[in-house]
Amino acid sequence: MWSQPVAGKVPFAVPVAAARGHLRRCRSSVPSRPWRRGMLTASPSSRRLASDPAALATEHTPSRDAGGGKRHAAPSVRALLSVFAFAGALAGCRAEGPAAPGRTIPRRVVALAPNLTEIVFALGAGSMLVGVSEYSDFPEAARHIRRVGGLEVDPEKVAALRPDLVLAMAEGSARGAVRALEAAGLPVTVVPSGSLDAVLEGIRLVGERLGRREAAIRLADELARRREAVRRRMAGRRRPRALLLVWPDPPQAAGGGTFLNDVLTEAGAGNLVGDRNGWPILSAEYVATAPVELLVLPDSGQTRPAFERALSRGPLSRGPVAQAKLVRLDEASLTRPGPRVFGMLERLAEAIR
Amino acid sequence: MKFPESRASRARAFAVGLLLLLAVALVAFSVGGVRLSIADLLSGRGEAGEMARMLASIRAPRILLAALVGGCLALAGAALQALLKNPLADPFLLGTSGGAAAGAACAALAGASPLVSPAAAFLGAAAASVGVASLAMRGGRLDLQRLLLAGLIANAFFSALLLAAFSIASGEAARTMLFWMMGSLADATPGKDAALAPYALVGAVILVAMAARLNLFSVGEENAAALGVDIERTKRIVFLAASLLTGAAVAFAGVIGFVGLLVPHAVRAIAGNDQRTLLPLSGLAGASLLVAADAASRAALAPVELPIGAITAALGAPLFAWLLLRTP
Repeated sequence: MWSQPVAGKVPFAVPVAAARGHLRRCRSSVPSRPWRRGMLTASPSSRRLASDPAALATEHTPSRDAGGGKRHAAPSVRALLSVFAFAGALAGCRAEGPAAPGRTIPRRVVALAPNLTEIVFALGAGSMLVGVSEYSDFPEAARHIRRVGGLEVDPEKVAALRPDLVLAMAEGSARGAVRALEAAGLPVTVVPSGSLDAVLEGIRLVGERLGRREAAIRLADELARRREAVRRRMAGRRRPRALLLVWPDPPQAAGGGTFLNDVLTEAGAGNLVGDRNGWPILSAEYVATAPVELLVLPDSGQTRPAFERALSRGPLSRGPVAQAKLVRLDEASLTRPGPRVFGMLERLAEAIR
Repeated sequence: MKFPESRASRARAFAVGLLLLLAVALVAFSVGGVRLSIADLLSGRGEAGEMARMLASIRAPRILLAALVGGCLALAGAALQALLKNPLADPFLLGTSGGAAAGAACAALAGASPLVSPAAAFLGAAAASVGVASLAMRGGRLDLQRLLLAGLIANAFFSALLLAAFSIASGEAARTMLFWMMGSLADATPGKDAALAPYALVGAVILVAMAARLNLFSVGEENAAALGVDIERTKRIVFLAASLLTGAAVAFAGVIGFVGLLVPHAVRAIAGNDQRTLLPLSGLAGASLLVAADAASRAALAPVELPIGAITAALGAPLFAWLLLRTP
């Protein structure tokens, strides 16, 4: 009905349609809610990336192979070069795998999501960062790095920093910007995040690109070891029926196929909406009647008022969910698919025990 | 056109509409993500009774809100179609909804609690209506052609405002704005129902009282004047009452499309074009449609909830197409 070509009638639908577009864009970047910033999504494509190393190889990273000197060639030549480089990257990766040696170490890195910033710092490469996304607030040193936009990454700001590596999420609000940057010939690496496996994979991939292969493998192995320890500790226990909400009203949960579903199940809980993929928005009736025993909430200054309202008189104030054991975990650590989420896994398992 | 209709036939049509609404509401009450057994609710004992009572306390206010909002929008749409003699008129045409959403957005950006946003939305709707009406005044007369254009201007302006606000908002503020833009009945409470009901009743009574005069409008303003209708007064009253209904509905449920545009057409195809029948029946049919759509949005993919606007269009469009096909 919105697209009726009626002269003199532009109903209020214009902002609605536009905003829905906005919502879709945001959804992809911020897994749950466009208004929940700094969170990153688990997408089918990221899962595909995680499980399929060949898919990783299709990244468009011309300058890596074309060499810095050739980047200033005439546009048509550059386009041609990037085609060759693209083919070369494919061929190279097939031959040598993603761990191809001899790759130049980048000096100017831009991270388009806060979890990517955290990964770079965790690999001891924070000094390589010349630009980060708006919500990169961890570790402290990240706060002083130049911002390149939040929900909407500004590709011009990124390009102006002359990065030799741009790290982006597999799905995200930055997708448009990523395409623009790739078209401009900047080397973009897309990092997967759809599961805990994907997060570890992403850490190894970032390490690879940063020339910190050893550090990345050490970090990923260490996190995998802690994860395995949690899994062993929680094996054979009864699984409390749990909901992990990323927003209270309307209640939106972490469903199957997300890294937070992995966190819930590996910490020893059973996700009540694990059979729903993605980030389902639940009806108030369901939340009030579901046999919830454990309620996991992300906690931050921004989310607390809304969750408090929902707990005192909103959808979380009635039925079994109101009596459920409540575990609050630091929002940024929990909802960003980076190294800190493994600490949250341990905290949650401890709380369940 | 088959008016004038007899008083008895109008009463019969009204009774049928009321029965339809009650039947739909009863079905809507028992379906949803979780089955609600009326027997459990009435016996009210034990765990099942407690669960039933809790479900009822969530579901009943929501059904009432759906009925009120659907009624407001459909009635406003029917009245505006008659007033503007434009079959494509709908309650969102005259800037009211844009004003409501912008009012809510401003309050949210200013950091106000979501609890005050219905009030802010209503203020925005009122300001937009007054602004649009004063733009449309020419030589002391409310020019209907100008009214359409003024509504267009207001909507364009508020869209711009809203998009700008949405792009700089974060957290709760952005959520509140999105709620207004997409429309939702999800957080209905008895308090909201009680707040909306007086506006809905006042607006509905005024519009239905103007129905006979709106009938005369269909022969043109000059002819209606010749028949003794106070044209200016009628136009202003209908416009303000329709704005009141739209503003109130949007303040509590956001912008829910389709109901206000197509329900009057559907009712007209069945019950004819006598405004005295059309207006009250449109209200009842709009209420029924939105209650049914809300039940579907709760039940279809439970426990996931579908956006109400998608359901109203999905239910209403085939219905409308069928009506269109069987009209010669």
